[in-house]
Amino acid sequence: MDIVPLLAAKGSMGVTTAALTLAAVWPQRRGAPVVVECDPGGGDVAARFGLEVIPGVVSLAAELERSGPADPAGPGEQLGRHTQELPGGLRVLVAPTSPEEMRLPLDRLAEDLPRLALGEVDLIVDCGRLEAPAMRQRTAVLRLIQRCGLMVVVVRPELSALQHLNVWLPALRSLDVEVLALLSGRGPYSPEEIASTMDLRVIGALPHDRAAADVVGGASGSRPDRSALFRAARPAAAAIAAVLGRSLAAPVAPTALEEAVP
Amino acid sequence: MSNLHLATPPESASRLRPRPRRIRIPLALLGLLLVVACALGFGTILTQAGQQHQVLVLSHRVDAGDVITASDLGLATVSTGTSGIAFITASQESTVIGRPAAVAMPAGAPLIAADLGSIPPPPGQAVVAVLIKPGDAPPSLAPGAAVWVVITTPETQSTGGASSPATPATAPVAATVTAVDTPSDTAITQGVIVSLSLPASDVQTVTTAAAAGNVSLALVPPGS
Repeated sequence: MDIVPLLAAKGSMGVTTAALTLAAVWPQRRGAPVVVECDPGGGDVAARFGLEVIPGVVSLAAELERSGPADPAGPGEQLGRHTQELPGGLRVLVAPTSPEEMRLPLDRLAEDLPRLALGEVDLIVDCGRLEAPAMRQRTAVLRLIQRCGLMVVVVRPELSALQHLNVWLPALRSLDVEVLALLSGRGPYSPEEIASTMDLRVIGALPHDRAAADVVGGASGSRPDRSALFRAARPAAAAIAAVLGRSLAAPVAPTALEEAVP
Repeated sequence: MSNLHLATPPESASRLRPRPRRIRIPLALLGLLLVVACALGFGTILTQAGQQHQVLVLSHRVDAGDVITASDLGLATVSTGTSGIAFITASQESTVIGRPAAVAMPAGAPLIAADLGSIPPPPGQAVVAVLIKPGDAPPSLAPGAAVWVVITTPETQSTGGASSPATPATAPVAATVTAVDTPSDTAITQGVIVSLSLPASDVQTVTTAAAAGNVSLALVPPGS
């Protein structure tokens, strides 16, 4: 159905945790989403939850490379074959830990994910960090973002992180995507203040919740359903779903991304 | 933030659960073992402490030397496991009846083995103690042995008196050894004290001869 790319602004950690948490509380009416690790820096989920790296991004990219985009069973089925299940039933397409191993599969996925999303599931894509040195080589990720029509930037509500995001905002807006900010952790600025000052849509604020974040990080513990993190994530997920529900503009033609990078 | 009021889902279960705890088998086994060991130990102590027995108590006052009869005895329930007191249980009542009290005891006192005197000799029998010099009895005498008590005639009498040879020494008295003790008196350095159970009618003969030192013991087959 839809793809929701998540990126972390420089100095703001927790994009993988945010992606897993949003997927865990994703609105029921949109069905169970799949978390896709597209971080050029390598994946975390396999190591966090003690999973094998295959099946995952690598095996899916290899299959796409071999057989081409057409799969008789349908795109959703094809994606489902390569996902792994976390405790509780959340499905994840895991990535290898090494950036080098991630490079080729990422190129393939950036091309094919929009087509795979034609199935019944929403894809929540962990795209790693929003950083200038990496973004020049990250055209695959930016192309993906461009086709999605929106992106969620995880940002810590403090001055340095917000300033980094502010530098990026014109470039991101030039991609003609809707930029949504998801605040993560503690900081001196309120969501309303950030929204009005930066002319940015803030969809929620995830609190610093160590216990729940540990569970999302693959630790054992108590169920996180009623934790502060998950309670805050539910309205954020609903807000993203509401944006998705609107008819999005048709994908625009890729622009020269090198010029977009500040 | 304008969309926040839309479709806030109820706090249903999420799609993510904590990773199951890794169970360390050796630790789990150790814990189980500790539980079992503690349960067993505690159970043992509890059953020992809780083991109740019926023991004999005196129903009324008994003076030293009184022979204890069934009417003197009552029952009480105590826990005997950990007290360390040698109570006499109800099942041992038959061993108590007929024995004399060794000390005076008030009513209600529980009986212990040391409260009872030794068993008196049966009717018609008497127990006498005889100092036996070395050579007057087989050295292998032991309690339970059947013996003849032989009254020997002193040599001075047998050679001097005329009547003595005519009347032979008294016929031997059949007796049973009940105890063999070494004398506690340091003045007596030789011989053993033999306790003999014999017919009451022979007590006078034997004790008189024993006082004179004219007694020998002969080991005989039982019943002869």
